[in-house]
Parts: sequence; C-alpha cells; structure tokens
Amino acid sequence: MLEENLLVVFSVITSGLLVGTIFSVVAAGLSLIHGTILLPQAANGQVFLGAGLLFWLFGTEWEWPLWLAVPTTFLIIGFLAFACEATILKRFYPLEDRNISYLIITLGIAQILSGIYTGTFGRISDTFQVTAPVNGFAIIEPVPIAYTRLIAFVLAGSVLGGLVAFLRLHRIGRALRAVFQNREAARLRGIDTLKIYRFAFLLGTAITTAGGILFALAFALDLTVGWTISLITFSIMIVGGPGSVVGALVVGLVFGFTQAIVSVFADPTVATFAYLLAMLAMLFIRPSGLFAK
Amino acid sequence: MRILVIAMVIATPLVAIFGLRNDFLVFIAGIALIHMLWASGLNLLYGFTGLIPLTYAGIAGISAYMTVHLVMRLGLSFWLALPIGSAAAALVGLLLSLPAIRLRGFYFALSGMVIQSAFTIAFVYFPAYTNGDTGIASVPRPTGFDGGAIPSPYMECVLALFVIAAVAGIGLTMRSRFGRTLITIREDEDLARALGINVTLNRTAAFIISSFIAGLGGGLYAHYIGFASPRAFDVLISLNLWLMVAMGGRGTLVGPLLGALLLAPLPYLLVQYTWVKDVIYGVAIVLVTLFLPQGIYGFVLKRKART
Amino acid sequence: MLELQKLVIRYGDFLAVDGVDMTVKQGEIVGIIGPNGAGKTSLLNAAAGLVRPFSGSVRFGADLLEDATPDVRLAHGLVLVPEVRGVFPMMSVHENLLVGAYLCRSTQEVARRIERVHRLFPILKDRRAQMVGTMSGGQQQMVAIASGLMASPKLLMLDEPSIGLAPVIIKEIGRTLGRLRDEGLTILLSEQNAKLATAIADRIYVVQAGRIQMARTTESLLDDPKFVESFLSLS
Repeated sequence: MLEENLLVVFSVITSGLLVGTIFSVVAAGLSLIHGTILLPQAANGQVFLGAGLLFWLFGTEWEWPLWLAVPTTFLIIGFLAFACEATILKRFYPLEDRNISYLIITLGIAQILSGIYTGTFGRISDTFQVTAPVNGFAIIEPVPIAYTRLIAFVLAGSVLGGLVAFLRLHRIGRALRAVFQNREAARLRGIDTLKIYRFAFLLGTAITTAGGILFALAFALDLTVGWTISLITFSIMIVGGPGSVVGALVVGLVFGFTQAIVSVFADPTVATFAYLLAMLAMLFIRPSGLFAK
Repeated sequence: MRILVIAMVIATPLVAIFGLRNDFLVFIAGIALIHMLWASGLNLLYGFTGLIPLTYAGIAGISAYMTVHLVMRLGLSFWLALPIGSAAAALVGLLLSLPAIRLRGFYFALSGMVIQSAFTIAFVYFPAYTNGDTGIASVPRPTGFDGGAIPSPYMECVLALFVIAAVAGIGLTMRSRFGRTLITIREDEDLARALGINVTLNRTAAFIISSFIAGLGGGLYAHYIGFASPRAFDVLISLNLWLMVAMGGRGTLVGPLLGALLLAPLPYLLVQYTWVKDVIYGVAIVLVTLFLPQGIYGFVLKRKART
Repeated sequence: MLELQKLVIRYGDFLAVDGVDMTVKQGEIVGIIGPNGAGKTSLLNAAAGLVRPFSGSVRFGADLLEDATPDVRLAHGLVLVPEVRGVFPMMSVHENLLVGAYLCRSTQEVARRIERVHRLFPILKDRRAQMVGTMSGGQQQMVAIASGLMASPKLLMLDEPSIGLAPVIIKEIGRTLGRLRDEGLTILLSEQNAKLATAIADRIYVVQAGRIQMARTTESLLDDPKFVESFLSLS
C-alpha cells in the first residue's frame, strides 16, 4: 500500500517534470516573441500542433528516418513563418499599439491552421501516436520511464538551457534582450531592430516547433491540443512576465506539476481552469508578470 | 438614405424567405437575421467603445442555456424565458465590464479570451445544465399565440422584427447624448474625463445593453436551430462575430448587418466541409485587419466622402 | 565635423525645429542650452537618425546623412547617449558595455575599449556584475555614457546628461567629459541646466521654440547679464 503510494508520487514527479519542461519550452518561445516584437502569437498552439503532426506524418506514417523527418518539419514551419513575417507581420512594426492587431491576426491564422488540420489530418485519424524511435524503459528507482520520454525531457531541458545561454552570452542574444528592455537605446547602439524582430519571430517559432516535436515523441496528439497549449502557454507567459525566459521556465514547471498532481485526483481540465484563473488574477494585479521588469 | 440601405440589407433575407420558398434557404435567412442581431449588439461595444469583447459568444451562451433550461425543464413559455435569460446575460455583461476599468486594448482582449475559455470549459463541465459536449437536442421552437410552435416563414419574420427593433434602438441611442458620450470616450478617454464624463459608468451601460442583445440572440438561436452546445458559443464564435462587425464596418448601423449577411450563412452552406469555413473566416480576419480596417461600409462611406 | 543646415523637424502639425543651422568642429565641446520643449532632443535625434527631418540636411564629415539609419551613423562614429534612460536595466554593467560595442565584432578590440572605459570610470569595473536597474541615477548615467563610448565615437552627443542628478555627480561627469576632450573626442551636449554646459563647453547655442536665439563662445555669453539671469540664476 505504502509502496503503491510512493509509486504514484514518483510518477507524478516524473510526468510533472516532463510536461512542465515542454510547457516551459513553448511558453519561452511565445514570451520571446511577445517580449521582443509585442506580438502575442495566439497561433502558437497551432504551430506546436502542426510540428507534432508533420513529425508524425513524416516519421510514422511515411516512415522516414529521424534525420530526415525532423529537419523537414523545421524547414517547412520555418519557411511558413518567414513568409508570414515578410507578408503580414512586418506591416505592423511601425505601430505602437500593434499587439491588439497581432492578437486578432494570429487568432485568424490559428483558425485557418485549425481548419486545415481538420480537413487533412482529421480525415486520417483522431489521435496521432508517433512510433517510438527507441523502445524500452529506463528504471529510475522505483519508477520505470519510457526511453522516449526520458529523451524528450533531456532534449527539452537542452533547448531551454541553450536558449538561456544564447540570450546571455551571444552578441545577437544580448541584442534581443536589449530590444526588449529599451527599444530606443538599442537602436542607438546600432542594433537593427527590424532584423531583430524577424530573428526573434523565427527563433520563437523554431522553439515552439521543437516543443511540438518533443511533445509528439512523449505523448499522443489530438487536434484539440493546439488550443489547449495556446491557453496554457499564454497563462504561463502572463504569470511569468512577457519577455522573461526565466519566468516561463519557473511558471511552466509549476503548471506542469499542477497538471500532474490534479490528474491524479480529478479531470485535468480543472488544472486548465486554475491556469486561466491565475492568468486573470495576474492581468488585474500585475500585467507585467512576476519575473519581468 | 441610410435608412434605405438598412432596410435593403434587412430585407434581403426576407426576400429569400418569401421569394424562394425553399426550406433550407429560409432557414439560412433566419440564421443570418440572428447574426445581424448579434453583430449589431457587438458593434455597440466594439464600434462605439473600441473594446474587443471576445466574451460575446459566451454571454450569448449563458442566455441560451438559461432560456433552454427554463423552457424545457421548468416549462416556462419561451417569451417569458427569453427576457429572463437575456437579463442574466446583461448581469454577466455588467461583471465583464469590470476588466475594462483597468485593462485596455490588447490586455482587455486577452482577458476576454481567458474569460471566454473559462465559459466554454464551464459549459462542458456542468452537464447538469448543459448536457456537456453532446449538447441539448430537440429544443422546441418558440410558441405562438395558439400555443403551438411558430412555423416558418413566420418565425423568420419575428426574427426580422427583433433585428429592426435592435437597429432602431441602437440608432436612436447613438443620436442621444449617451451615444455621443460613448464616442467621445472612444476617441479620447482622457479628454472625456477632463470634460467630467463618468467613463466607467457609461462604458458599463454599453456593456449591459450589448450583453442583453447578445442574450436575446442566444435564446433565439438555441430555440431556432433546436440545439445548444458549447461549440456554438466558444471563442472562435466570438472572434467570428467580431469579424462580421469589422468586415461590415465598425461604428456604423449598416456595417454589422452587411457583415452578418455575407458571413453568417457560410457555415450552413458548407455544412459538409466545416473546416473550409474556418479557413475562409481566418483568411477574412487577416485580410480585413490588413487592408480594410474600416470595413466594407466604412470604405464605401470614405470613398463617397472623397468624391 | 557635424553640420546641420536649415533643419526643420515636424511631428504631424507640431513644428519642433524651425530652420536650425549648427556646426560642431573637430575637438570642440559645444553646448545646446534651452528650456524644456525647445527642440534640443529633436535636434540630437535627427542627427542620430532616430527622427527624419522634414527638410534640411545633416552632414557628418564629408558624408551627407540623408536616409542613413542609426546603425550606419554609429559606424561613422556619430553616437548619441539619449535622455534619462540610455541603459538596459535588466542587464549587468558589463553586458551594457558589450551592447554598446554591438557593431564591433573583434573581441580583442572590445576588450581594449572596455579597458579604456574602466580607466575613465573605475567604479564600473568594481560593479561590472551589478544589474544596472539597481544602481543610482548618477551611476546609471555613467553606464549610459560608458556604453556610448564603447561604440568608439568621433562625435559624442549627450542629451541632458545632468538631468535629475546631484551637483557632486554633475561635477564628476563634467570632469570626465573634459578628460575625454583632452583625449581628442568632440562633444555635443544638450542641457536645460546651463551650469554643466557653461563649465565645459567652448561654444554654446541657445535654442528657444525651435530656433537658435544666440550662438556665441561661452566666455562672451557669461559676460552677457541677460543670459546669466535667464539661464544661470534660477538653477
């Protein structure tokens, strides 16, 4: 009996860590884009879902090897993001209050993508389970964890670590933070803000894509995941503070654990409800979030 | 002149009703009329206060579920249940005007998105009232004087009367002091405060009226199509009602009617391919925001003013 | 070195600068003095490329800087330290300096510049890891100037460097600017408070309502009782 309880606790910890890290990755991408460009990317959940679906299509349905399936997924989404930036998003850069237009536009894009997924993938299946590239379990006493989940966790952690290191140590990463903290001073130090905007959008989208692929590796996908992820990551971003990767990391983990703990006792939707309340409370009390300036 | 245009737009579905005598087209005309009612009510908020209420469908949903509950469980007459449901919606609207005191622009829209999502979750997870994701089927049509369901095409005429009443009411409101006050607030909030206008009070009044109209539309919709489900009142519906106002022309009386007439029938015409509707609506949202921020009617007015 | 000709700057209907001619020669410290809203910031912003002039021209050295963006001007050696918050508050002092040298890709050169800035502002060396947002106003202003110097300017433009600072710190900034001039840097300084400008500048332009009211050497201005009364007695 005691052992059984222990097993539950450990599985909560491991799944909380995994889910939380993936939440953190996607929220970090969202927060990066919003902090730099003032672009609340409401279609980020659909990008996430699209990455997972394409990865499933190439890797599982068409049985491509990993080294082909993963880069192709990144390339396709990267190209679409590039086209979207060049044709649509760019037009709003001169506007001060562009975030409201961006919210509406990205909601529109989310509706387009969601429609396309329903019309294409929706005809194939309801759920999409990626075939595991490696089988078997690692036993981390006393809990067995599927290798795929362990790999997904390690990779998600690396993405976050790499992002933080890039923002702290690399010249372009510093420029991104400079634009977020003081746009005018950044321009006066020779930073081409328009190029940084494009770069931030592509980087944020790439991170979201990575999150989608890792999620598909660890869990089964269905077409409603897109909207759920958008809601959760917006909550994380608002609570953690737009633009703060550290905020996304901390709050993402907290939310992941909440999800894991709640799932033991009740419907996970209760957790979603709690995120929404947290975001609403934060909007009222401190719209700049816990970890931002 | 303007009244003529309004009459023409409202008459279009009526022509379909009496001219074509095709049951399906008559039904679509009724749908367009209900969306005209909704879009006009949403325009009161978006067009005349500048706030984007992404909670609008949720408010309509509350009234819809309440009306359905009162009619089907408690056996009330539809015509008694509808005002009760709409009053409940107006009350919720009053609560939803609270965020607007503190939040502007993007943050208000985001808070609306959050609250709307909470509504949707609530609709799914309180099946005692809503029957969950499955929805409530066989909702009876509104009853006439004889106690039986009002048959088509008379029901559609009743809907048209609602639209005419709402448009007339909003038109009169806009000419009143209240309407001018709202426009002052929209154009320059600080100036309005300096003029001694109570911004919060006026905006709250707009919320209440607009939510009441949302509630009327919600009750009518559920009983007209005979079905109520959470998907009929989710964030995409809010967004698409916004699209109708924005595409038609915000802040005008004709705009929302035009937008609803053009867009509302689509999902029913594409019933086999609902995903195509999502793509079309999504593309329209992007295009309107990019190229036609003042909407079709606003564009026409601007060109006319130039010549 | 810097030459503004018949410069006009408009923000919509508002006329901020109304036909200003101004020159700064190599090795000079030039002050621009004027009340709030006189157009000082607009002049400097136009020179730095943040604001597009309505008409007139900005010439730097031999180059006509018509549509040049701030980064191009920076590469030419024209650097502006903006008013009040020229820093990145959530970054360390060291990172602020690194961002200042954003256009320089040689790590050795960046290290050389940091060394030079540390010699000028020893306190920044001690505080290199401190978050700039947690520093005092005077120290933040030093970080802003130091970050501007990291771009290796030929002409350093400073917009109200003394605003909101204690007299002791203003004096210290004045001393630093004097030392920079001795090292051969040309400086253009805008000030509401005329004390710093009159203490270090060779020549002064008095700007009012978007026009130049006086353009004189500092000495001759200080002999003018009217100027002393309107710009020095109050502050």
